[in-house]
Amino acid sequence: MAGTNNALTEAVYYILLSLQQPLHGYGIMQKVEEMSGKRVKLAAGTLYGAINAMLDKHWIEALPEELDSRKKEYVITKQGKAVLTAEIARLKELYENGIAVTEGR
Amino acid sequence: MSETKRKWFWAWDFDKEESWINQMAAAGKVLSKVGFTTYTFEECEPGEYTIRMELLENLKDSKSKEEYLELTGNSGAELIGKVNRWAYFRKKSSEDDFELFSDVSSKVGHLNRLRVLLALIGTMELLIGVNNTIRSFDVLPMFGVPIAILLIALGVLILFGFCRISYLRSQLIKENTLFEK
Repeated sequence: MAGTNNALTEAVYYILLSLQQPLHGYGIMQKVEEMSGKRVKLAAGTLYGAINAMLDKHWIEALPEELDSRKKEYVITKQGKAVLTAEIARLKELYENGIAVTEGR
Repeated sequence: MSETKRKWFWAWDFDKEESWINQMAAAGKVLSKVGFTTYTFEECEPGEYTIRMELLENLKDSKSKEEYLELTGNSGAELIGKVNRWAYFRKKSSEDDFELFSDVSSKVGHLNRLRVLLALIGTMELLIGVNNTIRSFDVLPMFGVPIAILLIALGVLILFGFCRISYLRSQLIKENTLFEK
C-alpha cells in the first residue's frame, strides 16, 4: 500500500503535505495555493474527491468534530506519512537523475 | 427582469448544456433558477459569470453533501439549483477560470459517475423492454408490444449516451498520456 510505485497526482501530493496540521477543506485549498506559489489551485470537486479517496485508504482521517464548529478538519495519518515519504524519495530520484544527466555531473 | 426558457438536453450532452448556459451568460443573461427542462435567466454584465455543472456524487449522508456545497461556496461559487443529482454552480469571472475539477483524474472520475449511471439505467430499460415483449405476446399484444419497443428504443438511446461519455473520457485520457495529472 504505502510503497506503491505509482506516482501521486499533484493534488494528492500537496493535500498530504498540507495536512501535517489539521485543516478543513477550504484551509487545504488556501494552504496548497500558498505552498505552490499560487501555481496549484485545487478546484472544489477535485479536492473533495481526493479527500474521500484518501479517507477510504486511511491516508488521512477526520478529526472528531467540536460542538461549536461545523467544519470537519482532516489530518494526515501514519499511513499517509509513509506514502508521502515514499513519494518524496521517488521525486528525489527523478530530480537527481535529471540534474545529473542534464548538467553532466 | 427574468426570462424563462424551456429546453431539453440528454444527460450525456451535459457539456453542450453547460456551453449553452455559458453562451447565455456571455450575452448578458445568467442562469438564476433551474428546474426540470426549465431555465430562468436574469440580466448580468456580459461575461460576468461562468457556470459549471456537476453530477454530484451519491453521498451517503446529507452532512457530506452540505460539506461539499460549503466548500464550493467558500471558493466563491454559488449553487444556482439542483435537478436530481445535477448541480448548477455559477461564479463571477476572474483571472482564474472557474472549474469544479482542476485535474484530469478528477475530470475522468466525474465522467465515470455519469457512465455508471447511464449503464445501469440503459441496461434496466433494455431488460424490462425485452421482458415485456416476451410476456405481452401471451396477454394484450396490441398494447404491450409498442410499450416494450419504446422501452427497448430508450434503452438503446441511453446506451448510445453511455458510448458518447466513454468516448469523451477516452479522449481526455488520450490527450494527457504525456502528463501525470
